[in-house]
Amino acid sequence: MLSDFLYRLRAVFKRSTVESELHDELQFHLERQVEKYKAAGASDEEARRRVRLEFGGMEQIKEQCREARGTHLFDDFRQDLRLALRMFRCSPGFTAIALAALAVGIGANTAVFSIVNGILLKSLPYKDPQQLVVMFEQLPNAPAKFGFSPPDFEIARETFKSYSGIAAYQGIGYEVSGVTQPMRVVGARVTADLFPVLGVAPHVGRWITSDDDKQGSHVVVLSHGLWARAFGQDPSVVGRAITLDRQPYTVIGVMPERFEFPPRGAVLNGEPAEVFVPMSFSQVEREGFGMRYNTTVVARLKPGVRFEQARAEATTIAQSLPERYPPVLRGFAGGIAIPMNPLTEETVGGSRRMLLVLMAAVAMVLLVGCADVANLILTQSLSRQRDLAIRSALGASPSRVIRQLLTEALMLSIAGSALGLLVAYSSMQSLLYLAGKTLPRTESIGFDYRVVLFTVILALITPVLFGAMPAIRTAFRMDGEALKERGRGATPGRAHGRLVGALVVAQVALALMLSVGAGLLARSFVRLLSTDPGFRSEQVASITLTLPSGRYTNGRQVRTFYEQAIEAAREIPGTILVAIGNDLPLGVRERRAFSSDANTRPIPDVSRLIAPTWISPGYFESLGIPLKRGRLFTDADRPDTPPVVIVNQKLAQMFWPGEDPIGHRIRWGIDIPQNQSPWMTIVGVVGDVKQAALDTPTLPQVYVAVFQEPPPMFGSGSGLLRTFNLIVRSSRTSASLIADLRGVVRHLDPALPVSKAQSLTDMISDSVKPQRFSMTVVMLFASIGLGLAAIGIYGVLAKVISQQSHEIGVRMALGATAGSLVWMVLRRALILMGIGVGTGAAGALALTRFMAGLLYEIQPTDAVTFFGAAVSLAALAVVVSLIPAWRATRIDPLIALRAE
Amino acid sequence: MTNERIDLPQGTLDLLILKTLAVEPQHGWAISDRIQQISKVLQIQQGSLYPALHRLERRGWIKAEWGASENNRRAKYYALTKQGRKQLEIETNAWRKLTSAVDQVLNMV
Repeated sequence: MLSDFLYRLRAVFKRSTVESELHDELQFHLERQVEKYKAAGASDEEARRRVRLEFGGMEQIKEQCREARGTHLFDDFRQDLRLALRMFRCSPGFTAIALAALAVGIGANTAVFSIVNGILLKSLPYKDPQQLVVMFEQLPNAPAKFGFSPPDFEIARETFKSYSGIAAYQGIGYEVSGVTQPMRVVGARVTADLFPVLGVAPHVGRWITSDDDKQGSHVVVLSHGLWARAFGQDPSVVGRAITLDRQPYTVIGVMPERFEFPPRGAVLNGEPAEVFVPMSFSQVEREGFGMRYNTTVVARLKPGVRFEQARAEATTIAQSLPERYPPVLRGFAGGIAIPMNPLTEETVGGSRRMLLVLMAAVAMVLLVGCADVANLILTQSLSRQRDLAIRSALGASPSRVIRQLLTEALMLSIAGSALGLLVAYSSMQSLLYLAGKTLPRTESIGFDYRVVLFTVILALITPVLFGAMPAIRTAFRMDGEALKERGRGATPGRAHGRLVGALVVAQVALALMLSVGAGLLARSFVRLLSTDPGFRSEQVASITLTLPSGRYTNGRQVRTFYEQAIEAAREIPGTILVAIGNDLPLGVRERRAFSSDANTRPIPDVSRLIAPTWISPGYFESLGIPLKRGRLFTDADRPDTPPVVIVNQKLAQMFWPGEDPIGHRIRWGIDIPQNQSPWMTIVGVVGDVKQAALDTPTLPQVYVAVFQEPPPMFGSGSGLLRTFNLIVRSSRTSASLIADLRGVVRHLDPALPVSKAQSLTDMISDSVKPQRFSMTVVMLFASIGLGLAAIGIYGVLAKVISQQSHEIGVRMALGATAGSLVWMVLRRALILMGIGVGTGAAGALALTRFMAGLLYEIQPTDAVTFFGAAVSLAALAVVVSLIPAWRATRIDPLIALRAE
Repeated sequence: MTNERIDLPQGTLDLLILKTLAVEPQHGWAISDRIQQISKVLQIQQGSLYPALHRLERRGWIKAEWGASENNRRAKYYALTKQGRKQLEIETNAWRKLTSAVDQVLNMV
């Protein structure tokens, strides 16, 4: 095989040597034979005559030898290549447009594919990631899944049999200082078995052991990124000290560069951590049945155990969970389920649909581009028809001509792909910037062999798409008829017109589908933005702070800091209102079980979980959340006055429909006699705000007066009230306000990092980033698609006009008016457009339902969008046909006819 | 004379070339001359030898090298490769089987 290849290679690249060797070899034979006959007594002339007769035709033998060497394919290819290059040189306009269409189409496909590749195709950076699953707990009637509570995790760890390892982690913020400027980082409390379960070894040092976990050692494993930022990748970092929340920790290891955990995109605890510390559950956590469902469990399936088996086991274990709960909680635990997901699915599942829609959109762009190129080639082939007909008359077979035309197509696509790679490479950064943190696994997005392979495959497929049909058509049109018929200026044949028409129809149909997709996303986005968030964001800014336990050791210190911060913020020029709250709208994370004095009445399908928020007086006024009934909090609500709460309208309607909720009472915890939580009286009802995102339904929500909480609450181990937002409504712009807010913090505690500083308008705009991303990208693709389709329609009509100039000239000579000529051109465009729009609408109807999950309050069959897309496409077609139509009226009949 | 000569069955030329080269490396003319000498009845058009030689070389059964001929001229010598020797054995066996089978049929009556 190899020698065969080398032999052919030599034959191809050392052609002249091989040829002259062949000549020498045959010549040698002839002369020896002549000598032989002369030795036998023949005359020189007689001998040569006999030898020639015996030997056969010299050129024929040579040709047979060449064929035996197996190189004629290469020779043909070289010839085709030369012809193609000559063709490209002769028609630079054609070449430029074709290359641009292919480069844009292939480039956009490559860029999108590299995202899909990084997110969906590459495996997660753990050992055998397909064996990893994540488990959750689903509380009865809860709208979303939760993590495990610590005691439930410990039960799971000892009862599950499907796993070779089972670990838990919790996302938790830390203030890092001591070795760097103080900063807030995302951290994770992890059990010792997490790293063995993931199967990833640290880059430097060791990982957390079960002794670390049991003893609650202050040890920390760093991410590669933090190691680089804080220690400049110093390999002797192990054993060094680092300060977390103003407490000393010892660095014991550094994770590898590509390691990222928890993976971004997971529903819970889905922020990659920079510091990993031992979980070290406290006694309180360990015994806290029915509370703290915030630990995510990740486990590795034993070899041979299928996901379904593990899921069946989880169902059994969930059913037996109540036996392990304290008797009073058994009723509550009876409804707990343990849902689970493969880790990969949990990470990327949420973005799959959007990515597939992008992939489909960008594939359509490429198809429109291919149709453009096919049309160009077809029109081009009209002017070459005579050329090709002569070639075929001289003996080129149709397959030979097809091969020549396909070689041209292949060269176009290869050059287009090379340009496309450049396009993709340079547009990649802007795409990723646009995506921000809305995509999971962005660190794995890039150019690897698979992306290049994808481009190569496109380079090989596209010539078939745009080159095959024109080539076949051209090749079989080259009978003698072609020579006769294709006199100059004759109107192209019917079959040719049909093919060109079909391509235009396909382009229009694809462009319509793209426009419908983009239109749906755009309308959905507009709806989303016009959704009332329930608060006024203009001229409000906030900064987020977390008071580290190492410095603010007790609740009194935390509370004092709050009071001082509010005081100082009031002094900022322009301040109208100041307030604090542990959560802001669009970012309410806490969920709590609660009971009310309405629980005596059965309330079907009502979640016993609500979103609680701790706020200071002034919170509602600053955020412009309207008071509906009762009163707001005041400075008079103090720890020594009866506890009061404010609820949102949703909660009021759910529990006291048609009734005044003021004066009713609620308390934390479920409705059991052992519940010791104090009752809190409802004093006010406020308007609903969006708590998670603009497109999620509002949950019942309870607002608690933060300064009414006893000081120990502020310093509690849960850290709930250690994080807060300082909110300021001002007469100034947010940007300058934020600088002043930072100044307040610097003044109170110079070492305290600000974890987030934002205007609330930005906060809203950030919350719709995923939707903005998909909308922007699809709209971009749609406009490219429309542009390419416009070029296609224009090109075809322009060519048709120039080829029909003879016919038009005759018509004008016979008295046709300009209007009737314009109509002749427009009519053709409109007929094609109509068929294309019809086909495209049908296609869009079939396809857009896959987008349903991406749309907000818009049906995938939205009539307005379909109609709008069709109208704009028709308008576009009319505009681009007007130029060739106008040109048709400028044809001088004398010149057109004389050109004959 | 013409009556006694027979045309070569398809593919037999390859076998004859390989067999001739099994003795010693030879150039094209010598191969043709040798085959003619040994068997006067085989009708080979001399030119047809060369495409066969090129095909065998491509397959790697023989290899070519330029050398000096008996009368000190540049000639292309062909030699059997290891692979070619194996192929010769295979083809010889196949040929023997074929001819003996055909013989058996012919001798039946």
